[in-house]
Amino acid sequence: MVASMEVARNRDATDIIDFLAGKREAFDSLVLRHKDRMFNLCCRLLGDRDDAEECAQEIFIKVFRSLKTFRLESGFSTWLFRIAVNTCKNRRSCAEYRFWRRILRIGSRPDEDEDLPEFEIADQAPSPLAQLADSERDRLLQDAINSLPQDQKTVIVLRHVEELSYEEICSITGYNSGTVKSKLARARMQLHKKLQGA
Amino acid sequence: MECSQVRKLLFEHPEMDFPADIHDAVELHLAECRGCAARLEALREQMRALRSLPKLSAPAGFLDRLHERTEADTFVKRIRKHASSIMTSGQLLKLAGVATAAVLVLVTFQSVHRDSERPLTLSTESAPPQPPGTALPMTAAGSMLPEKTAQRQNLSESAGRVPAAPHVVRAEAVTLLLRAAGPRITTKSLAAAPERLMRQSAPVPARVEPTEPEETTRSESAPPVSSPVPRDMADKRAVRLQDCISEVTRLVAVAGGKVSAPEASGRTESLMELDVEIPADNYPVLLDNLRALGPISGGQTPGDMPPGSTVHTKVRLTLEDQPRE
Repeated sequence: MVASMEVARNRDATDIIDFLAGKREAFDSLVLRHKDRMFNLCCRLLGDRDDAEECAQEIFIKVFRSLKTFRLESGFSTWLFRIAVNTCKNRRSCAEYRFWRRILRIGSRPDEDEDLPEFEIADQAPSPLAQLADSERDRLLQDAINSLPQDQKTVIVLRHVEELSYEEICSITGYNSGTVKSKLARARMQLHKKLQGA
Repeated sequence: MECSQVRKLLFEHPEMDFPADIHDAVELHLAECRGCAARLEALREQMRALRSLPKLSAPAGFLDRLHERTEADTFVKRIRKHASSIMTSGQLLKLAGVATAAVLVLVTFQSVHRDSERPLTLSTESAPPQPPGTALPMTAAGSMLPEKTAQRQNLSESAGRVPAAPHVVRAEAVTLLLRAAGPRITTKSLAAAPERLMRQSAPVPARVEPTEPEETTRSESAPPVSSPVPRDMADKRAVRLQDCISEVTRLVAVAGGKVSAPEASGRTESLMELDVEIPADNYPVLLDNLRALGPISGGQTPGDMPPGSTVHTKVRLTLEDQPRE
């Protein structure tokens, strides 16, 4: 396990050096190696497949722009996760806006509907849960994750979905170890309540 | 250990990775409390479910779409970088300076070009070019008087109706005062002039208007006594001026020009004005011919042509009958 991680880390370093030397194919290699993991992380954090793809694209564009500033002594994967978490965090506020925007308020009524009261209609697009989860359990889990606050959602996805170590989570989120553990404990409790209630 | 304490510890350490003393106490409580044991089992199942969530793969075409976006990003970045380098290196100021200079040159060129293409016009009261020797005649012609202004406007209007040659670049107005002493303007002197003038101005331009043979004949053959005998001095002056005008008109025609306003009236009986338009090349010839009629004050020497009067020249002649001293 450690050996495979070390091999992956060396391949990342090689691709980064090649990309900085002008080889565009090296960047493609980096993308192909990490795109699925980034997409999965974005899906779990955002709860929407389209938003997840857009966010994953944005992550790699940021990497493309700032790879020259990356220091090889640190792990590329950790750096990539840090970018992903921050990008999802920034995008979530935008997603909230988009969610509320989906409820269309009709203030002016056409003449043939004069007797009808003002009404709201919901967006007919399928819900994020329907796109993400196939089984009922996965749907409930994703629903419970979505209900968590952003910081708890981040740490629980990084810890139990992506199965990162506490040190990696600290490096990605910038929290210290105690903060990560306390946030994880609260997140587990919230999930437990949610799943028990369901 | 209380259930609340154990449940809190379980949520913090679901893997039971406690220190040894706490681990033993929790194990003891779980062995006795089914509720806490069931909660621990549910928590472990919850974590297994989280780990077993399907690993989603990026949709097909992800890399291609990323290529498109990075290409666009590279293009925008290149433009930004170029603009930034221009802003930071001071090239923008240089560029703005060059653009300003170019605009100024263009505006100046257009202004000059527009002036050079201005259509044929006679003098205006505002800025007629003043030849060096015509300052006094211009003043003497009474250009400041209202009637003179009206005459000039009429002259301008009449000249405006004359079709200008298409290659006319600029026409200047020149005021020429021809003071013809009364006694010198005699039938004899007028009769003698044409023959000599005709010889001098042999190369007549194409625009020469045919002279009136009757007038020439009359001016050549008619002695002073042939004109109607004046009954007083004013009548004599009028006759002399009319003869002089006729002669000047003929000389202008010989020089290829024409008199636009031959009937221009003077302020006094002894002052007559003629507006003449001649080819600029024949201007010296006309001056020479006029000198044969009488002394000329003002006017141009052949080398002092008004600047820009390369094709046509407008000349205002003032004929004055001065009594012989």
